[in-house]
Amino acid sequence: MIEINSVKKNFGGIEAVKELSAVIREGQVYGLVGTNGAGKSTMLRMLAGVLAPDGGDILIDGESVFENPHAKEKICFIADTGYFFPNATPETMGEYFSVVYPAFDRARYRKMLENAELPAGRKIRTFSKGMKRQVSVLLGVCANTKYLLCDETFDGLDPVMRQAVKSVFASEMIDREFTPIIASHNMRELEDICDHIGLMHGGRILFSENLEDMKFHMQKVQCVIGDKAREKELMKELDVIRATRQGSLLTLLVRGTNVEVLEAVEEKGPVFAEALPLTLEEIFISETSLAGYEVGRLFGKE
Amino acid sequence: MRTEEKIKRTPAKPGTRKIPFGKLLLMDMKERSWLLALIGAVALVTYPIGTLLVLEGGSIQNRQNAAMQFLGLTGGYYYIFLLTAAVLAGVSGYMYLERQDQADFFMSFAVRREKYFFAPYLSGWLIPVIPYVVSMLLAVFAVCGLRGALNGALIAAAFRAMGLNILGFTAIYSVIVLAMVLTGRMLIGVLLSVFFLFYGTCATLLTSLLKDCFFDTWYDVSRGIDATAWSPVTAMYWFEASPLKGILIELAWAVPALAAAVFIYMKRPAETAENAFTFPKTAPLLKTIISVPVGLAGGLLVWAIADNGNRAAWFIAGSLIAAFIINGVIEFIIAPDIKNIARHWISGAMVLAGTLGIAMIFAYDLTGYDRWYPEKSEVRAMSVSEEFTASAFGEFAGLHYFGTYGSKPLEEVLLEQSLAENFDGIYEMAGSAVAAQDGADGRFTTLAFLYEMKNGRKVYRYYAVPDGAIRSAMQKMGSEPEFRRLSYPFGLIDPDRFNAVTVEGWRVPGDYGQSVDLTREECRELFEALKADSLKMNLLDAWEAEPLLSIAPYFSYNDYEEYAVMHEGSSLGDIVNCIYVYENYDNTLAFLEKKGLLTGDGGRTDRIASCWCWLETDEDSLKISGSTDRNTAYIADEESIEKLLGSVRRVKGPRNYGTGNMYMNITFELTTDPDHGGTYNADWYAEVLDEGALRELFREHENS
Repeated sequence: MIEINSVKKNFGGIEAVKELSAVIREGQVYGLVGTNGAGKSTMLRMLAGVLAPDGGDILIDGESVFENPHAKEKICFIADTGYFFPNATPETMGEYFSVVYPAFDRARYRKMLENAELPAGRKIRTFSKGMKRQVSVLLGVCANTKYLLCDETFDGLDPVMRQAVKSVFASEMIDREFTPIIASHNMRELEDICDHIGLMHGGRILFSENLEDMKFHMQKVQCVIGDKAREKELMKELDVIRATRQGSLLTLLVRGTNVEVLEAVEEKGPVFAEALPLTLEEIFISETSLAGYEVGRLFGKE
Repeated sequence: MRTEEKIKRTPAKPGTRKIPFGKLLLMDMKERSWLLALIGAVALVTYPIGTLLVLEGGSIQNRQNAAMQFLGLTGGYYYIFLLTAAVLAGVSGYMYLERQDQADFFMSFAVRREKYFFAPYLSGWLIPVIPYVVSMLLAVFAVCGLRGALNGALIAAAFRAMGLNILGFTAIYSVIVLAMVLTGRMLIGVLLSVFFLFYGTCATLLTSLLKDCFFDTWYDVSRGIDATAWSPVTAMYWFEASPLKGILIELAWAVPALAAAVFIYMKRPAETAENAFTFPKTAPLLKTIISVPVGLAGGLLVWAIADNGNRAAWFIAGSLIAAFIINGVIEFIIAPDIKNIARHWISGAMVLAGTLGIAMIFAYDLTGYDRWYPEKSEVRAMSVSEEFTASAFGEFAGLHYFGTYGSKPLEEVLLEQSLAENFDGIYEMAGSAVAAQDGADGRFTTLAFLYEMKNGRKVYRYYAVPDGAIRSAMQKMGSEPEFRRLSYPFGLIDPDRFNAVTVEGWRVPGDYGQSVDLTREECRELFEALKADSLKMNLLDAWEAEPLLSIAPYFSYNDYEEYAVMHEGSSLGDIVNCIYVYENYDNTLAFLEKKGLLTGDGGRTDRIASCWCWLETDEDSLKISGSTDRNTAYIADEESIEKLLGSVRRVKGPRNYGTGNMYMNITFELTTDPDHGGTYNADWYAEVLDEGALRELFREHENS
């Protein structure tokens, strides 16, 4: 388990992370989402033990991570801008990783390179951005660490590769103790892989919730009641987070299970009623607007 | 990626396992194999191949000597090789600190920071040292062995050179590593390296230069040699001059630099990558200590160019402008934003204030350096330049500038040897010089003085002493037995440096001289006689007496090595042109008679073929020839030469204190010696007795 206790970090007077607390449990895929400049990369670098927090503490399985090799050896960090030695090939990078990560599985690494059709003996500086990302991911996965920190890792990957990586993560989590923490500004990308989402903005975590729980207890329903009195009743009965109207069409974002909400709507004899898929983005915008944040603006929505 | 095929996993190794330092080291060396190849190639060309070229031809003895000189050297042009290797190794090893992606990469691994420091440090040390040692061994054992130049002395010299050069490299390399961990950008790291490596020496030399330009009484102790200690690069100079001192200086650089680098690396925040400095607060300090001396150096340049007018004001203005400019340049290097000059106005103001303050101290002698004159009760002993005494007993050339490689200048050595506790005359002479700074007429002579204070401090000064004060001091000090014993020259000359003498008449030109070889015992006997005879004379009497003869001692050698061994170190004997023999030198004359050296005719004017004469000062030229440009004459006829000899008197040069007359230099070109062949010159320093006659001669024979 990773415990983040009131961590803060300043860079020359700029507060990149402000009193942030969170818990990342083992065996779940944790998504750290936020806009550019939210503090995601800074947070990941503190988790990796690269940066020292200016306040608070970060514990990896109960041990403070900064300058603690015993804690750090449980972590592999894949940075946003990955670094490779100037004349390195995937093979030589694997060789280096096998020195710094004692559990690094070189055979598996070679096999995965082959499957990904990445030439092991070609210089990485000749690779495309996406290929370099692939090499980084494979190195991280084959390091066999308990925690894998991925900073904007899925950017630059083609959809096929993205899916493949998600499969690998899933497979890893089944086979061993593996907890990936993925930072991204793209909520849609994280939606189908993460179990737990934390939203960062302005150096703080605004929202941290299990995704299934969120989706189970929130519904988006479109309906046409046709009678204003019954509409009012319905609105009173349901725990409405947000309601929008286009003519007679009512779109409601409601707390509650799917069954409960649809039953309540059906009781009002609607002309039309339908439960719609709810995106992560919509959940966040709704939840955080309740918290007083105009998060919609963050994602280009008013 | 094909996911349908489940890839077998090697079971993860449980628990922790220390990452072997040796593997990290090898990985680093592998990544910098390009540097190993580069340095290896240069070392191979320099040492084995260079040795092969040096040993080409010549006898075995010559080849052995050549090999000793080439492979036994420390420092010299190897500076460039060592410096380049140190820069490349230091910068390439810690470049990763300058980029955020690299810092993230390395700092995220489960490796202790000290391992991450020492792996590249050790690798960067081994990469140049291994090829250097291998190349040297090849050069010594393979090349010299094959060419017959190998012997025990060469092996010892080569190993000594290797050890010292490696030490010097280690010091330079450690300083560069320190600079790299203190900065977050490669350019700044390299510039900071240059700062660390050369600032001390440059600042010391600049201080000496400022004192030399502005303080009339400044005496440059050891002439900047000690400035070399302030840099691990220039300190390698001491490996030849004084190996122990060199080793201690290099260790004094290497150990603290390495310790500081380790400490700073351990504390270094990873986020400082791509920032100019690891600790931003160092920026204003560095800016100030760089801008102020560079500003002053710029001011000196302006001062040197400004020949006329208020040079002090030009110096101050030039210093301020240069400091302002360099302050801006440094700001721009740290962050390319011109607005920072205004933003950091406080540190900028400190730079200008510091520059102004120091410039004024020098320009207007605000500390009263030139006027310093201690209370007599504070002084334990004093001495004055050997020029004050030696010139009464012989001609000694260039005392102030003489000193062998790596040693103190001769003048300093003699000043320290002749410190006298009865120093009244010297003290008064110094006082007259200080008082004369307010403006006095007459001739002056610049002499070096040494005060040894009662608190142990030694203070050197150059004073322009009025000739009258010199004569007075000569009379007073010359009566002191202690002064005679310590300062008269013959106690300071090692007679074993000579094995032959030439005796010439002094009063008349045209003496070919008589030469004879002397045994070691005979040399000692001669100098004992000179010493005994000179100690009988008061200094002023010696100054005023006209020599009867001159003795020119020398060392006759067939082999340079014999000469080099005999002349190791420096001595007053190295600069003696001739020794005066006065009429009352009974012991000396008896020795010369015994050796048959008094049988010469003492000089004949009919042997003079021609002569060149030139007047000493512009004032004299104006008096004689009516122009400051026309100050020389060439005379080749016998009648004119006789006329010239009748209008001048040979005096001991270069100064005959206090007479205020006109002086000139004359070189007589003598006819060929019929007995021994060869042509001779006789150089005179003469006092003009008949200005009218001389004016006529110049009119007839002048040569501009």
